Amino acid sequence: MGVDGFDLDQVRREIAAEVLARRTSGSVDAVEERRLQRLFEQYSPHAGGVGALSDALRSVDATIFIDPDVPVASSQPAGAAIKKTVRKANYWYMRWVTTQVTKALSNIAGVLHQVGSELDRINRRLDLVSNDTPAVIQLADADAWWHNRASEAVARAKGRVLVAACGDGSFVATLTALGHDAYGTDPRAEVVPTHGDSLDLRREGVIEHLDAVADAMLAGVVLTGVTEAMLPAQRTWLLRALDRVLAADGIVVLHLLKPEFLSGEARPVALELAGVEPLRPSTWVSVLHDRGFGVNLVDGGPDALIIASRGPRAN
Amino acid sequence: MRSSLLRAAHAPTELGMKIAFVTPRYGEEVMGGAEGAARSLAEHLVADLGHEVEIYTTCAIDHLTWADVLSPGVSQLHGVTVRRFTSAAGRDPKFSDLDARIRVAPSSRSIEDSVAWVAANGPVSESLVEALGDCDADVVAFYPYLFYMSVHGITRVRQPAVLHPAAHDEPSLYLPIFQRVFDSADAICFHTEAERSLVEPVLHTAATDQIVLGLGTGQASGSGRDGAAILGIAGRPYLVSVGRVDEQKGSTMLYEYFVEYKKRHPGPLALALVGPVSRPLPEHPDVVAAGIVNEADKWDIVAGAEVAISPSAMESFSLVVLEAWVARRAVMVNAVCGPTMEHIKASGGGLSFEGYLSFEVTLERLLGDAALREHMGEQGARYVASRYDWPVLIRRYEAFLESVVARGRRSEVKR
Repeated sequence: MGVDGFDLDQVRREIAAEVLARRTSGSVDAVEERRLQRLFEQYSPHAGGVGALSDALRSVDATIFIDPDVPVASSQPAGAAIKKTVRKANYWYMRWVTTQVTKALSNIAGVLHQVGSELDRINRRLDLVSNDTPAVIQLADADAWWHNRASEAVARAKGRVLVAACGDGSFVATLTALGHDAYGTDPRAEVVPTHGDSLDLRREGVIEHLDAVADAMLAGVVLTGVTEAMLPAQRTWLLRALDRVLAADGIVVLHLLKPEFLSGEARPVALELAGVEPLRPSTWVSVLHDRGFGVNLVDGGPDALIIASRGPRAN
Repeated sequence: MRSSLLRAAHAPTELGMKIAFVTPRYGEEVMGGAEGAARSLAEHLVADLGHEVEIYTTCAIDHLTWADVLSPGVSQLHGVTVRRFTSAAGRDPKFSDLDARIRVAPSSRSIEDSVAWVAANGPVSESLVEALGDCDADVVAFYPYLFYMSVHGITRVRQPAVLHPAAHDEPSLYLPIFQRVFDSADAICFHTEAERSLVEPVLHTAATDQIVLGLGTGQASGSGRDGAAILGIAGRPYLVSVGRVDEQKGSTMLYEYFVEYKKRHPGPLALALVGPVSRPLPEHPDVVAAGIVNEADKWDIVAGAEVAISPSAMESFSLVVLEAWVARRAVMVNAVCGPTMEHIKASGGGLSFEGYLSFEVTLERLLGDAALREHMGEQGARYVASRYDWPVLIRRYEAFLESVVARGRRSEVKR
């Protein structure tokens, strides 16, 4: 229940139920409702490239019916009467043609809907094995030991540096104060300041974010607490994304908790729910090395820092 | 901010920036839209913060023809320097055909097709683009992404370039030429999260410096007159829709829905359409097309309405929805319009419709429950005050521009 006694979700549910009831009862003539719905669809976004299939199908549905009633309005005297006569004379033919076309288009639309449904089903299954936004594991407080080491590593990056997950933006602020062009992302809406002033902080997950970064746009990527809860497929995706978005001499700083400190009661709830086992730092070192990075491992006790460089500066 | 000798040469303010806006049309005659948004930002940067602002624009007012109707040259408007340039071409008569063709799979069109589409859309002002090469501002803001001067100007400027896309989910967004435009921006200023979410995956802008800003709203500045009397329908309750009366803005749909509603709900209720008329609608005894009205009349008309309706599916921000909330009116918006849906979800200030039946039922509900309307108006007013108050918003924009200037121009085309 909202303030002042209004539950807007309930209001919306009641409206939806009433709409359904009127549609079921035939409150509005079906042909007329279709005409009115076509007006709604006509300038609705349908996404020319990557939009939802359902939106595109709605546009198809809205244009399927071919109207045999040719408009007869005319700006010329007697024009409307002449057009009306021609329409009347040809109506049997126009109706026959438009009926065939409408039937054919309806069949095609039906197939498209089946394809759409099948894609929905597949996507739902994929969601079961690959959540787009893996949970962030809170690793350390703002003045953590690794900040200095990470700052030193990022100092070599010549360009934009991404920090994920950035939390309240404290490490982004540190890098910015040092003169770096840094920004952050974090899917945890509750920890990212809204309308932050000078810092560029976004509320989104690292996978979703990197997916929308152009090739070779980043000089550095700092990852802290984002890899622990990743599924194997997501880790593979992340490595491929890093290959793509990093500049030729890009740097990756990977801050992570060691699995042995994540057992028993110390195991974060998010990790438990994800049902995954984080990789050991030495495994990450091996994986990054195999992908052409020069890698340094810094042991911090329960957590570790991996600094991986590509290009001539790799060590 | 500026350290160059250029500052000494202009020096209208001691410490301010010099900001240039590039927009296809500009002036008091231009109501709402991206160009109106550019004017609001420009005037607040000058009046509230003392920055120097100049506008690079054409002599056009009409967005359908882009005909030169204003005089070229330099003029002043509310403290802003306006540089107007003539256009070699306006809207090409063949634009509609070309536009219809690119609507099918726009992302697979060639760069040449895209460039032809931009030129046909108009206005084509090479002299404006040339002049940008000599611009001495600290930062240049292009508003919106869609037109010739943004497409060709953003690669021409030497200063950091900020792009205000004002993008909708429209086929042209997917034309390949716009990848270059967004790549050439040093920073992007979005109206809403919905706009950012739309643009980011299409144009791969995630790593570009950016801000979600929106627009500020003014105080309700009506004169206290009866809105119905201004409309010539004294004593009758009415709905209001403010904005360009245009098929693409949903005006035809709203008209047809309202006429159908009135067939099924006879009574005194009227519909007021306030704004420039691009496409006249059939006359109807319950529909008032008020055209362009002055600000005071607009606020009085909105304040007197039972419900404000935004029928458009193609909005990148919708200032008129926010202004309805400043006047404490409940709103109804098009359910497939991301930005206006973002506003009502975040505020609780309105409801949406996605076809005639939901229009009818939602309107019945709102008209039948004055307390609900009042509640929504209050919720909307709180939302606007917390996010879109000019003093706060213009400071955020200033800080953003300062950071963009500090970082400097990265490259003309990043990839």
